Parts: sequence; structure tokens; C-alpha cells
Amino acid sequence: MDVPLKHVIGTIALIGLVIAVGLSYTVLASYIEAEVARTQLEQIAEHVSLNLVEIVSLVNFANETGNVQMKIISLPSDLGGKAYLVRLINETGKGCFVQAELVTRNDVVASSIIPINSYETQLKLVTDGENPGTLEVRGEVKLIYYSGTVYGGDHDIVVWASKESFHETWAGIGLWESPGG
Amino acid sequence: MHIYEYLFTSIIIVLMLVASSTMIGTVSEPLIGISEKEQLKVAAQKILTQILLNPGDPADWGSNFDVKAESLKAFGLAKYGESTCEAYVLDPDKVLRLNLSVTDPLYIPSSRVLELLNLGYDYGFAMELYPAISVTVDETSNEVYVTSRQDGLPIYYAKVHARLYFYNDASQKIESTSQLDTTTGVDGKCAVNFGVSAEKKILTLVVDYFGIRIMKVVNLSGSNVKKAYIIGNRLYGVGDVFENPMQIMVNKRAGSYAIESIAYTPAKDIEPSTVAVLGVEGSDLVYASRLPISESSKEDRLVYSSIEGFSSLPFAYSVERSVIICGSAYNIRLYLWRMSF
Repeated sequence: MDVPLKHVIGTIALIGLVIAVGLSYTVLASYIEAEVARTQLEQIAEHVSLNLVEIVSLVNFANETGNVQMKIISLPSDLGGKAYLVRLINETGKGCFVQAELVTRNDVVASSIIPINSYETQLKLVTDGENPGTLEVRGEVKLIYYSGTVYGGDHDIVVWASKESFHETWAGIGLWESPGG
Repeated sequence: MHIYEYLFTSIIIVLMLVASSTMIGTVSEPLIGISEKEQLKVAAQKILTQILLNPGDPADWGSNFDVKAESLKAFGLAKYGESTCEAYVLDPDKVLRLNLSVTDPLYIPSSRVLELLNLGYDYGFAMELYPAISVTVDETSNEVYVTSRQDGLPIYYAKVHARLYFYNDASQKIESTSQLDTTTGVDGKCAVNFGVSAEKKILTLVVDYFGIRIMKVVNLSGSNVKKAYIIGNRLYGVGDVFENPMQIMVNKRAGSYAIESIAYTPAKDIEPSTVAVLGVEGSDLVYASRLPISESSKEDRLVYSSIEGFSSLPFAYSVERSVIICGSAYNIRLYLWRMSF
């Protein structure tokens, strides 16, 4: 059976067009999905930084050495089934900021500034890359496991601040957990 | 298939892509828009918290003449006390330093504040500070009227306490009238006529509306009176060569307010409760006010913006809080906008 050449070309072109359209749609949908995820990450970063600023203000206001205050913040366990991280970063030239990013896609990232210049002030933020540790809160059994990075899916993520001395306040993010997990 | 049928099929496929892409964009766009506004709201709350609840670094930067814009390490307007702190009580010295002339060495430029708040080039902001009750003084035919208005509506039965200080050319001394206590009428107005025809005069007012107190020190003589400031416990913007200097204070007694004055010794510190210092320099009446934004009857609003001349932009988000400065109730409104999208 003879098939005219124009039909072969036309069918191949149609198949090619369908594939191209399918790919374009996937790329576009992926871009929009990333934009939505970025917006959600921005909200998370803003929420964490607002709570951090408030807890620092509270501790400075109390002005009592050794006073550790913390607040459990409510964050979504994932973003549309995707895991995310929250980091506290201190970067030369950019200052301190909270960064939220998808674990699977490093390019989908959002940040929120902390309106304090931590290089010059008496506030020391425990940021990403610094040694993690624990803090006791008023004799509670649970401890704050602080570090510069927390996983969004963790339970009881906290922002904390501690008046170390008259001139120094420490603050950061962490998890509120019983010793041993 | 005919060639036209291939073309038609192709066009339909492309149209399907365009339609579905548009729909996805249309559905997600409002959500992203709402979310951006929410973020701006949270960011504005965060920045206002930092400004109103933190004293800055050094904590006494308002009254410390050694701290200039470049040596300020953190920005905050809260009043600092080693033993006691009150929320949303602002330091008048810090507010005043935002309201000085831009050429004044103590002035803190908004570019430095942007830097200290880590806002960089991402955000712009404007702060507006105004009394919780609008008190305007209208001087016509040597009479003073006080109008109290809130949200544009007249305030009835606001208690008004007033005392006039004036320079007596004959005795070359500062004298004062007795205190006048009155209340506003249904139109929100009350007449406060002292019957003094002196050229150089300063009116001190306390308006109290069920606990909301506004103090004003108003220059009623225009350019006939020299203006200075009180920063911390010192005078700023005028020399210490004074004759008959006096400190004006407002004291609360038995549910009412008494506007009183005591002598001021220039070499000594100004009392913390002093709202103004009056004195004579040559034949000029000099007055220095601690109140950061009520020196003139017309300028009862401080606007401090990262863009000169702009208090807000249409796409800015605003947050408002009530604060206390020098015992007077003020509202502070912060406008925040993104500089880039």
C-alpha cells in the first residue's frame, strides 16, 4: 500500500508537535509549581523571622541574665508533598536572614531578612554551619536542640532567645524535644 | 488526510497548550498576589516590632551625642531603662533625632536606617508619627482656640489645661499667666483667651480625653522666638547663655494636670520630667522642647521616609500601633513596600 510522502511528513510533524506541546506544558507547569512553592517558602521564612524578632525583643525586654525564652512555631510538614529546610544564615554583605528551601530542588529557595545587623550588635544568632547544642528552659524535661538548620517536617520547631549577659543575647532556631528523641 | 486537516489539528493542539497555560497562570496568579501582600504584612509587623520594642545599640543612642549615624549599630526607638521597661514607650530623644535638619550632625538619615534594618535595596519604608488626638491651635485676634479631633470627628468634653509663657519687654523677663482649665464643647472647640498682647509667647497645652493625653508646646510668635531642643538632659541648638531660664513641667495631681515651672541652672542637668526650657538670649525668647513633633501648631506630624517626600506608595502595606512619648499618646504608622518584584 503506497502512502503519500506528504502524509508521512504530516503525521511525523503532528507527533512531534504533540511531544513538543507536552514538554512545553510540563516545563510551564513545573515553573508555575516552583513559583507557588517559592511563595509558600517565602511565607514560611517570613513567619520564622517575625517570631525570631519577637522572641529576641521579649528577652531583651525582660533584661534578665540566664533568661531563656522559646516559642513553638507552627509550620506545614511539607509543601505539596515536598520536604523543605529552614536555615538561619549570616552572610557578609547580606546580613542575617532566614532561608527556606526545597530539599529536592535547591533552586526553589526563599529568604526573609532579620532586621538586625548581627555583625555589629550584641545579638548573636546561631546560624547555619555553627555547632549545634542544647538549652534548658526553666527546669523543663524537654530541651531545645538548637542548630542553624531545621527540617520542615520536624515536630515542635522553636525559635529561642537567651540573655547570656547584660550585653549579649543569643538567638536561633531549633527543636523542642525530650533528651534521647 | 488533507494538508488542511494537518494544519487544523496543529492549530488545535497549540491552542490547547495556550489555553491550559493561561488557565494555570490565571488560577495561580491571585494566590501569588495575595501571598505577596501577606508577606509584606508580616515583614512590616516584624520591622515595626524591631523599631518599637528595641532600644537600638547603643541603647542610649538618642541622648548620646557621641553616637552619630555611622556609629549607630542597631536601630530601635524604644526607651531604655536598666531597671524598668515599658512596652511601646518610645524615647523622645531618638524620635527627635529623626526630625532634625538633614544637615545636623545628630540626624540619622533613612539610608542608614535601611542598612541597620537589613532592608538594603529590597524594601522601602516610611514612618508617620502623629498625636492620637488631633489638637490644633488657631490664633486669631490674640485668642487661642483648641480643637480636639479624632478621626475627623469633634471630641466633646476633652479636658484642656493651658498656660501661656511670654516675654515681657518692659521687665525683660519671662512671665506666665495662671493656668486655665476648660473642656471642649460639642463642636470639639474651646476658647483659651489669656488677654496677653506680648509679641513673644509660648503656649503649653495638655489635652486629656479619658486618659489619652496630648502635650503641646506651641510657639505663637513665629520667627520672633528662637527654637532649640532638649536632648537627654542637655540643651541642643542653643548656647547656655541664658537669663531667667526656667523648666516647664507637667505634673499630675489629684486627677488633673498642673503646668508648672521651676528655675533652670544652665550648668546643671535638665530634669527628666521637663517638657520645655525657656530662656532669654539678648532680647530673644528662646524655647527648647523635648516633645519631638509638637513644636508648631501646624507641624504635628513626623514623616520619615526612605524616599524623600514620599510618605507612602500605592502598593505599600501599612501597620499602625499606639505608642507613648513623653507621656503623650501617639500613633505610629509604618509603610513598607518592595523596591523590586
